[in-house]
Amino acid sequence: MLPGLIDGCPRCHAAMESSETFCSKCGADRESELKIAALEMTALSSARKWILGIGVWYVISAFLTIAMTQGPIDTHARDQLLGISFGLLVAHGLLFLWAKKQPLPAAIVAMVLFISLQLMNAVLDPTTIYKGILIKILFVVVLAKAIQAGYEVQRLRGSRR
Amino acid sequence: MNGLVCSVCGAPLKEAARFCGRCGAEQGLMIARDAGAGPELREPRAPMPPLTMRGLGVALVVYFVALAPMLFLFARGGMPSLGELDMIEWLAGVAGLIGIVALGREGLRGLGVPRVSISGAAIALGATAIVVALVELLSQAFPRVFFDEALYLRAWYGLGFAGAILHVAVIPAITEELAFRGAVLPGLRGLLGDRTAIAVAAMLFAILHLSVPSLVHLTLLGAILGAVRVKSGSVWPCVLIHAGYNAAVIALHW
Repeated sequence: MLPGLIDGCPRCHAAMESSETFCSKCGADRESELKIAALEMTALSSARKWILGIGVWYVISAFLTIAMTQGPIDTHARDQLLGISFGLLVAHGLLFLWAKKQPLPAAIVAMVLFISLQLMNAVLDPTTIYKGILIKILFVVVLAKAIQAGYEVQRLRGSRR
Repeated sequence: MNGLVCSVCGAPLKEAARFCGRCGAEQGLMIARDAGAGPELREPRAPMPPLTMRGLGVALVVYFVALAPMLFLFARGGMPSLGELDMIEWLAGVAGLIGIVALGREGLRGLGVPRVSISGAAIALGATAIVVALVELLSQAFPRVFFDEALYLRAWYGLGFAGAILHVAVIPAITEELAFRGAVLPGLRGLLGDRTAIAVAAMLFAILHLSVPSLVHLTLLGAILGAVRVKSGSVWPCVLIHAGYNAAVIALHW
């Protein structure tokens, strides 16, 4: 159920009258609590799913690269690629878990990690820039929105009292 | 209604209300000292540091300026010369100094004299020793993943032990600490709070090294250095610990 439909404090669920702006039990400002809940349900939760999704994407593209390699396979290079992509999957899984509690810092780290890796790939092999360009742009946009939403949540929480 | 009214705006209060429903003021902040004396205000809570996007901006700019020369070397390929290695580091240090100045008082305070406590120093050194041991274990277990920096410094650059310590322990410790514990961490503190800022700065420090197998131990080292920066209020103890860490890793393989 949407928190806005619950007839009570959005933070502590104590009974609240419609004339009250603040919860008399926990002091929450009803309006900013509703805004926080809305941001958490839209921008922040979708960024979380994208963080996990990009980790899976690294593993899938590693397998695709190996499958499409022609000629004899360099086993050391293959193991390295698989090791790195699974390492990145684990890192993104941890960021995904962290984002549930603290979406803003997790989104900042995910964004910096993503841009650093893409820059590194781009200088090593410029043709990789265009691989999956749509997914890359979408990921950056979703994370930028999440950082903005996370900042807004912090601001609303900070101005609570 | 129990007949009580808000001490700030005078609106009637609900039974057992801690906060006024109309103005949000916390009730019961006025405590009577004793029957005769007047009421006394309770100590207000410590104010939050100003919530700032500017600090995040400074942190990210310093991070990417430190990343740029590494990308340049990747793009060029081949081995960097010793002078180029030092240049990479000094650029990070200069970016850090500019970031420190851009952060103003909060940043400049970090260049001052540290608050040192014996127990704090012992905890930090112990934790750093554990990370050194972890790196040693990992490099023994996976020699193909973690390359032997000491061998490489001797064979490629022909460095002696003292030269190796200067170029890969002392200079990087000064410049990376100016950048990460000098500018990035203080830049994030206003927005994220101390603990989270330490965690994020540690992760950025690890990501900067562009090596997936090193992410874990570099994050741990970054977290120790971040905690030292916040507790001591200065970057200099971080420089010492960072240089000691680098030197220990090199010395174990020399």
